[in-house]
Amino acid sequence: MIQVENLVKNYGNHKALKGINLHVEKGSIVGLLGANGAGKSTTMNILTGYLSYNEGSVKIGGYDILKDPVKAKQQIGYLPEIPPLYMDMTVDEYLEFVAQIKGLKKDTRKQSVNDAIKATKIEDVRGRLIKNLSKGYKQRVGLAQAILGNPPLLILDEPTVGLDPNQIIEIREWIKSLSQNHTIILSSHILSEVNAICDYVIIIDQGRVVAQDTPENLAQHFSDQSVLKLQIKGEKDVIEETLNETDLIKDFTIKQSKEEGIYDITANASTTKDIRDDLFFIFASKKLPVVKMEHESLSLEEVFLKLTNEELLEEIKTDKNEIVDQDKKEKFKIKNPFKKRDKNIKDTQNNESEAEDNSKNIAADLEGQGEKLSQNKEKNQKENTLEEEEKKNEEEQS
Amino acid sequence: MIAIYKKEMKSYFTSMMVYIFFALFIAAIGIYFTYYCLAYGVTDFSGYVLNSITILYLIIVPILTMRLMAEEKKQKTDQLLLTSPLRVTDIIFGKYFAVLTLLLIAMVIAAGYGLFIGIFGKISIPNLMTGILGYFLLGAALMAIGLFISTLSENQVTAAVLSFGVVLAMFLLPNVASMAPGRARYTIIIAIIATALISYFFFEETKSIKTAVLAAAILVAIIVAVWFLKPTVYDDGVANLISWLSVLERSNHFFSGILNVSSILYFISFIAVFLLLSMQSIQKRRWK
Repeated sequence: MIQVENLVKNYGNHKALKGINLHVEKGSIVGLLGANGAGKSTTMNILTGYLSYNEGSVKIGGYDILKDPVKAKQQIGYLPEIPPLYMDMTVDEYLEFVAQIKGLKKDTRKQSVNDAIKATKIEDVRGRLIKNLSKGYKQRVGLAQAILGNPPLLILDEPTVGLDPNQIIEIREWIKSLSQNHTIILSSHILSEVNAICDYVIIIDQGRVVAQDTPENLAQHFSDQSVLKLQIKGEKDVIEETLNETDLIKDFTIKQSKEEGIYDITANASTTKDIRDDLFFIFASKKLPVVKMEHESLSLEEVFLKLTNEELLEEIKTDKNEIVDQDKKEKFKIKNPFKKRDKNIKDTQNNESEAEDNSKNIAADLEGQGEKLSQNKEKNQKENTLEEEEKKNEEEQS
Repeated sequence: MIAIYKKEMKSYFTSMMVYIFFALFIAAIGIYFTYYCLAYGVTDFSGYVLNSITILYLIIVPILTMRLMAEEKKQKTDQLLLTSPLRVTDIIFGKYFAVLTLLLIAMVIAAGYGLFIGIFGKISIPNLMTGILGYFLLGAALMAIGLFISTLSENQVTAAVLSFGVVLAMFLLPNVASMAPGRARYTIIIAIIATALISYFFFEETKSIKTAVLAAAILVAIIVAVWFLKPTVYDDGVANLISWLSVLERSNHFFSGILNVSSILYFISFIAVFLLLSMQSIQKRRWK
């Protein structure tokens, strides 16, 4: 559906895109990820023919966007970052106008407008002036404009911005349902969103494609199977001793977790095979309850950070895994450069998202809570099995 | 094109501007009509009344053209238009014809006044029609400039001030022409300054010194060639150039009842140049 070869775009001396290659198959949902200013919107603007480019070629459904613009553009429904709405029109008038400039035939126009209105659920505002609508409704009118006339390719630049959590979920489901007979490209910087909707993710950084694959593969590819994350309840000395005794583990770091008496351990396995079973029984025999044990797997978020900002991720990680030596601990109490930095990073992230939109936060929170819940569940299950194990052990001993 | 045209017409009539335009036009025409035609019994409607209200374009052009493209850019709706299967020519012509329609309605009103005198005395209908055509062509040319200026700016107010300035300059040109120095050497100096400006423009646009030097060389060659072949061109050259650019001077023929084909062609090419510039200015944004 889309073939982009070696796309280069310069804004004066600034190189916005430095050779982007994209191949998007029919019927897929592709997520375009990138930090602010990475080149997402520029790429989309070029794909839709709004901007031109300096080098390379762009083909939409076989038509070159510069040589055959009318035919190429007929296949695209585009929702830009800011929905292009005429504030002094009613929703109906606006969609009728869009239908006209898209060149829809007169007898099918009314039906197309009705379909788009129905699909985006804006029936109850169709007679109102667009300038009087709320941000969420404006966004939906923008979406209605994009899908009007059923173009085979939809390009959506941050489609869920400005919607409340319910609407976000609704729109996501709706986009998913569209994928049956549309090809969709959407950009976002909400990673969980891309994770939830897209079959394929393209990560752009500083005008280059740094990674492209399915979300699962990306997460797997960039995670390290030989690193285990453990939470163990017990005396610190005993835990250290146990870990030192076994030859399954090459080295490890240990630190106090938030809960009293539980320690967070990051351990490097000495072999490549799965050592979780063996490790569990070792701890069980020492009567050290394993509260949590998992392979370190990166979320899409971490993959993204890793690719777009290697340094930043390193800092966050070192801070997390700080070996808490008693002496050092006291030093860090007085002055911990990492902590401050980490906080700053978090703050800026928060500020940004707040400024962008509050609803995003709420959505993220909701999701976060969901994750936490499921984590807790797992934890509980693990604890239960642990207790059972212990009981068995006791019985055997007695 | 038709979709854009309809949309522009609708948005004109839902905003205040078009009503201000008609109110101003009717008020001005009414005042001069009462003064010349009713009080003094003048039958030459186009020579007196229309000729006097050309000054109205100073206000009409900015208020009618300022939002045409500037507003689209500000609201980011140009993104919708340029990513739809429309061509840039459709967009520009749709918008331009919408403005012309308003002007045409105003001309019908003016013709009504002119014909009204016919009830009480003898009037020359061809004279009246020529005057109205002149007034219309003058307006059409100035609106084309206004449309072009609107494509340059993202801000309506900037566009309005700029078009006001340019229209004002158009009105002052005949006076400037009479003050221009007549000697040939001044013409050459002006030509050289123009050459420098044009080659700088080429340099800015293409960022290649070669093109700029080439453009300058060609222009200097033309200046030198004309000097040897027909040096009389340089006598009064500045004044001639200025009055050639002055649309107002051309329209005066119409008001005095002369229907000149070359003047009509002049206006049409003037309009074509500015519409072409508008399209180029929109295209240029995409290449920036």
